[in-house]
Amino acid sequence: MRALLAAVLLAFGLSACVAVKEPVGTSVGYANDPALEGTWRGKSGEDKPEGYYHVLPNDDATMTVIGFAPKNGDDKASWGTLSLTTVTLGPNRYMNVRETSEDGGPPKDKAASDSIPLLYRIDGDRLSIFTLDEKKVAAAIRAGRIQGTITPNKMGAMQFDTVAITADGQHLDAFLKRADAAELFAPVMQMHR
Amino acid sequence: MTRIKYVLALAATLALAACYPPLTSHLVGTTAGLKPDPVLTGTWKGTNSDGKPFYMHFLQQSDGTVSTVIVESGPKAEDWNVVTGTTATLGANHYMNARLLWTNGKPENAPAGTVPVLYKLDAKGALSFSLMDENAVKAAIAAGKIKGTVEKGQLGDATITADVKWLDAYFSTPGAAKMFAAPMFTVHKVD
Repeated sequence: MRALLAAVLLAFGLSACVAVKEPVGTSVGYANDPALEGTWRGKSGEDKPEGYYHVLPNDDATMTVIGFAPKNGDDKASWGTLSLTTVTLGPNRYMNVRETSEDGGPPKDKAASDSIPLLYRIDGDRLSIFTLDEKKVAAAIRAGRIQGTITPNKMGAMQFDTVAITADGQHLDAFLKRADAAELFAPVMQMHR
Repeated sequence: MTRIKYVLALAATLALAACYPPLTSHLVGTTAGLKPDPVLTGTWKGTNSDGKPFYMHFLQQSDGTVSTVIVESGPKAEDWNVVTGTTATLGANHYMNARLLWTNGKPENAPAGTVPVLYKLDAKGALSFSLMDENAVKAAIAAGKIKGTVEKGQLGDATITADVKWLDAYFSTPGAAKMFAAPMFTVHKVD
């Protein structure tokens, strides 16, 4: 399900993922956001066709996303499912996203099964998704605003940092409740009804 | 009798009957060749019996099967299903051998065999799906016109057990299409 990963998970932030110790919202609990329910359309890149993202609520305060990515050149059409939990902290709305299936089977990418925190905004029929920005989070960690680690890595000539927030759920939620927490996120995808 | 719990699109077509719709123990179209029908590929939209909109996403698989992901939409959407199938054209008739795989992310315990679904695309772009008329199939089996079995009881499931050669010859005829009930729903292509 590479195409769906590209269309959903990569767009949702796996490509620039900041690891977190615990999902967002554990200290306050989850409640499904009814504003997300229904069908959204969007694409992860200008050269990609729009995919479909159907959001259905479950009884256990989770939501299921069924994503469909149409055929695009040599990439065959694909589908998959995600599990969401949603929480509002202060003025910010967050979702924790986890891949649960890929083309009818288990996720092939193990990392995709990890929970990814995303910020989202809904403005009328527009849904904007934001992911934690590695450089901004690294700066926040260096400034002591949030507990975390920055590990330098080298791959050939390329140098990069692996950034992880190690604060526990209570501290993470308190931090992400602040209005300026949204500044740590970068836009990855915009969808529409 | 095997009941199907959820009512939705193609799955709805399977479920709207009081019991499981007629099955075939062999695939319709085996001798003619089972090929994914490119007409189906993509996304279709319709309205189910509850008045809820739904989407059908048809995906061609590398093994020659067609996966259909069916999802309710709208504010009170609840259900989604995955159906796998093979498609074949026999005479003027287009068929899918359908099998319900998942309902709401959970595997379905579907009975052995596949459900023959007749589909038609009209000149206005409406794609309709029909199931075999259960009573007509049971009567044909009882009369020895079609080789098959019927479970005991009024709601017993009917299974056509005829071999692939007979199946394809039979389903190629205009008369075979008359063994199908009126379309349960129609969808229109959106992508």
